[in-house]
Amino acid sequence: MTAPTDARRRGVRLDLPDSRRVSIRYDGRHLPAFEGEPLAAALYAAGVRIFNRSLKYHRPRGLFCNAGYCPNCLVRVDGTPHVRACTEPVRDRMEVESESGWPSARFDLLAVLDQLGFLFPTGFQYRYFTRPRWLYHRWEWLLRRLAGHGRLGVDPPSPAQRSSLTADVAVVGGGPAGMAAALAAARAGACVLLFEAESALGGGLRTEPRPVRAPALYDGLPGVELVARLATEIERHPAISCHRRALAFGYYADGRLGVAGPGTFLSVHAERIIVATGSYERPMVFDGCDRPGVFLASGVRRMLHLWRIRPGAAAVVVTTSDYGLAVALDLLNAGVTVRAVADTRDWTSREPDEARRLRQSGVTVLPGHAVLSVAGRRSIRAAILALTGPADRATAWKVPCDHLVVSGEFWPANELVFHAAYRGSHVLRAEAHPMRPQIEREGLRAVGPVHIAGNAAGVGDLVKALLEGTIAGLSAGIALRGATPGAAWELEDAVRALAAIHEASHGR
Amino acid sequence: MGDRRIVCFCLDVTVEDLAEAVREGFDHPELLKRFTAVLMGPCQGKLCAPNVLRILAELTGQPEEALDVPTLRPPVRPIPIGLLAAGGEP
Repeated sequence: MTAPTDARRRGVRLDLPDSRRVSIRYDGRHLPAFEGEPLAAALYAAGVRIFNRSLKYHRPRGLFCNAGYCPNCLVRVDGTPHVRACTEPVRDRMEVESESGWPSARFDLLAVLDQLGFLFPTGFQYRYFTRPRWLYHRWEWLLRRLAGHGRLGVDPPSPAQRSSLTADVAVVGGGPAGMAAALAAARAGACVLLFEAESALGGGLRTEPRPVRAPALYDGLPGVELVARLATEIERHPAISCHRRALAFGYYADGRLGVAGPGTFLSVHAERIIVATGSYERPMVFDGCDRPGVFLASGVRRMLHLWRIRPGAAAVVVTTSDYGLAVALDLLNAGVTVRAVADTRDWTSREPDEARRLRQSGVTVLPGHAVLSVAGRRSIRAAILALTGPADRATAWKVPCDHLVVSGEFWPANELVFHAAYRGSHVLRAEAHPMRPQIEREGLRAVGPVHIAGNAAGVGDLVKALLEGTIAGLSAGIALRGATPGAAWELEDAVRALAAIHEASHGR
Repeated sequence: MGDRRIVCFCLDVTVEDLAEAVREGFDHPELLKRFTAVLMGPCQGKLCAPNVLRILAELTGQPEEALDVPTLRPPVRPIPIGLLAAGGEP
């Protein structure tokens, strides 16, 4: 039934990483890998497709977001449970085990639970066997065995360190908005801390191969090169302290930011916080939307550009925006056969450039279509596309593929802003909530001392993100250190540039 | 079993589960979250919150903007408890 691993391994890697070859063990099998690459990349290149089993129905799950926010790639590494394989770097002789499924995630006898869903309606755990109490405790014991993920390690973990940091401005997120904000605040005379959760700066720019029309000096560079330039400036700047693998996990009532570094708790106090944490991609809900082989478009971009790995041989792409079309082009450039691109928008009057390029490369492009379902259980074999609107199965078209790329909307990663907005009230009323924060000035949004910039503010554009970051950084620096003529002039310039972009996009 | 499309990857909550919860009266986002456990898994709503709110809006006949977003608390992503312990006052 399963294809031989040779066929999977063949052609998955686009090129080999620079680092040295090492060996890791996954569920008892020795697998080749490269030091420092994401564990999920090594496992995928070695043929692993089912990474996990879902909690209730033990449905097979594969890679999905590839960015550390979905639950699909959780594995046990060297005894530590719940490690996200997509962000964990490979070390030599790593011991990796799947956490769910019995005997393993790949072959799970409890998968039969998926057929017994009728026995477990919503809220069943509150109702079955609740009386007598002794029976409930037995039932709970069984439920934990069936549904639990992961076991604690035997050895106690090494103790974490604590450290306090103070600065004028703390920037959370090292993507385009964050890097621009840090540099701008430093130019305005502020002392800056920059926290990036991943191991490298760049955020969404790292996966953007096309030239970015960035204002000022670095116009027209591909995203990856722009990142390199900005990162070098940040490293060299004496007023910016850059912390990588540092996750800001909470904004607390006393104005402190809690940051988790590797093995360290950082307690950060800053006069202004700039949240530039980007966004999450929204999955599409359809029959089989959780099957291995279904990927988020941003996840596929990370695989292609950061991991240098092809998701498979034949793709179908479903998109709600130009982003998915761009990812379809990335797949084509990587040698993947794109069987069809379905765009839920019905652009009869204006065909997007990317769609035209796809058609000219021989790809079937279907405006006004969406995905109905996928065929396949352990991995997908085909995607069923149909016209949007009431599901019309008569027009449904089954397209064979080994992976489906879905591109829905982007949802702002603004949890920290919510933390700042609560101010003692536990339920945030719809009118006041940070999806629509106070707009003080065009491009500058804030909730108290917490500013938001870029995709975390719902902006969907790299250039706008750079400008918003610049505006937030300059405003914060000026508010704290006074307005130097240079900074004030630069701020006006940036605000004008952003306003011009807004007018241009609304005028179209 | 109704609409078995998965909305919450972390806890296998289906569209039917959400519909059933609303039928039973758990139609406010905070109640729905506590009854079905959506937004409470490893992803903390990063994957499912937009879809849960959209489906809840459809099920209750309200516009999505009128729904309160359930309270988000630290930590934004799961972190080891030992780290929080190290952060406590000495």
